[in-house]
Amino acid sequence: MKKILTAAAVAAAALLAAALPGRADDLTLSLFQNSTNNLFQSSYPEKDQITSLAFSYAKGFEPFSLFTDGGYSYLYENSSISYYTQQLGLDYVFAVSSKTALYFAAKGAGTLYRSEFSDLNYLAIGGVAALKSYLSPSSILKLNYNFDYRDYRWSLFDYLSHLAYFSVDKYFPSRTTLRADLGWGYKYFLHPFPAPEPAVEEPLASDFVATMGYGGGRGYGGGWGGGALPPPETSGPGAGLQMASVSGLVAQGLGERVGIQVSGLQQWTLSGRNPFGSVDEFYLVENPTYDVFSWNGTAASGQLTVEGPWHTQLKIGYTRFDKEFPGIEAMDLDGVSLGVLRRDKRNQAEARLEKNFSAVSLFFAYAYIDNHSNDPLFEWDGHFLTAGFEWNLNWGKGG
Amino acid sequence: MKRLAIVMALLLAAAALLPAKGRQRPQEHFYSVDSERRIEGTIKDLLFEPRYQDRAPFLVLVVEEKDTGALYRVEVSPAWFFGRDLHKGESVKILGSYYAKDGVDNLIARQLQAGGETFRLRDSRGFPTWRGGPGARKGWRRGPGM
Repeated sequence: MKKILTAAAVAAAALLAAALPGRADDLTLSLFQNSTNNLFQSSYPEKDQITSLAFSYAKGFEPFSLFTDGGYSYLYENSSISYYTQQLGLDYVFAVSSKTALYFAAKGAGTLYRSEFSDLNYLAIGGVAALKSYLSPSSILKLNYNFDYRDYRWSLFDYLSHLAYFSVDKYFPSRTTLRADLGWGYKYFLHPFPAPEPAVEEPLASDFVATMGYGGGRGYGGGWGGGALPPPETSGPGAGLQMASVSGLVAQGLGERVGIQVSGLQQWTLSGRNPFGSVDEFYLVENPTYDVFSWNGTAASGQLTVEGPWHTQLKIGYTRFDKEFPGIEAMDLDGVSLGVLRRDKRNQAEARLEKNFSAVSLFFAYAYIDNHSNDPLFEWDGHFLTAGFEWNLNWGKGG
Repeated sequence: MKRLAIVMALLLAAAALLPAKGRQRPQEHFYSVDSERRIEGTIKDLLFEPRYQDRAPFLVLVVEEKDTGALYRVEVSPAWFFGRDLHKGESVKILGSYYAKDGVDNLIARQLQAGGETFRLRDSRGFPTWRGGPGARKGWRRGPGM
């Protein structure tokens, strides 16, 4: 009931702002049908289909613009995971000079799951500050800072995070673009569990690892692994997880209709480790145990973009990941520790086709993922198919 | 958590109620499909400029047309809402609505082709299709997919 009241308060604020006089902007409606043979991305594959209906609305108010978007996703085989998500925020763009612009945004968000997944319901507030500057007409510097606070119904997952990125690029007359990125992030779990020292040696672990994590049990299939977690009343003091990354990208235009790019990334865990017994990823369903903080390792990718006839665009990509999960021990299928940290090597191939009409865009996407892990639960592969459309509705003055 | 949501909602509503500033803005030109023109050329400069009342500053390209050498000021999108970064020296093809002002040729871009990709900035009626700042919204692209 509380969740409904709070969601209603956020929605009322959105409607109030939308009803005020201002420049009309756009409304986008979208409908996507997704299908997979491995929803929980494990060695116990479960087929499912997900229908996602969403809207996105933006309206300008000097000097801000308001944006809100929401969507409901229904899972046919695992309907108890079906969820509604809503975001509402204000942003502001300011030109410091003709070469430099600043962007600020403040936003609130929430997600409500059905029945047995309601422990993962959350409310969040966040902020973004960013700078984009042309150092020269052929070189761009970007700074980006994100703040996020999440309050879950199950306080085990509550966190506060900071993420900052810096990038600089350079375009050459050969139609080549080079870009370098640096990233840093800190995530503070507000209520993780106290735990014994892990049996596994961790060269990057900090002094406070003893306050994080636990080594017990695991849950297989049919859910998000809730069985792997101790009861919520055992929550303890907070603890942090700090990461840094460096990445590079080379993009090359070939003729008028073809573009290629290759990129590489190295990510480190500077301190801390995951305070959970398991890290899981689900298809299109957010899992609080997995995000950019939960792993370290490398990624390498390549992408080909081809402009086709009749306003079509085809993207074909391949990405190779090599990830280690700090604090997560690899286990056998009986849940017995193998004495090493979990490490995954993933090959991911994707293709995406987009066709644009005047106000409607059609999308088709397919991905195949082959994941190898020293933890047999995460030795899996899966097919992921998406088809859908976006419909842009505009009214009021152009511009 | 309830308190947090209510505070957040009140803050957003209050911000939306802020009065508009009476700032001087340049004269506005709106998209007209009757004045559409295609040009092909090279980017000579890039600027962030105010273009519309109640709007963020726009990314404006100075483009030299390949055949005639004429210079166009091409309005692309609000400064932050164009996903790909453009640079001086890039070859571009642009379809947009033309108008002349103070002896300067201007285009409001509807479609821009660069680096082997085509970017749809407005629909066929000239309405904007851009959205999303650096704090990109979640969408169907979440999960496997590009």
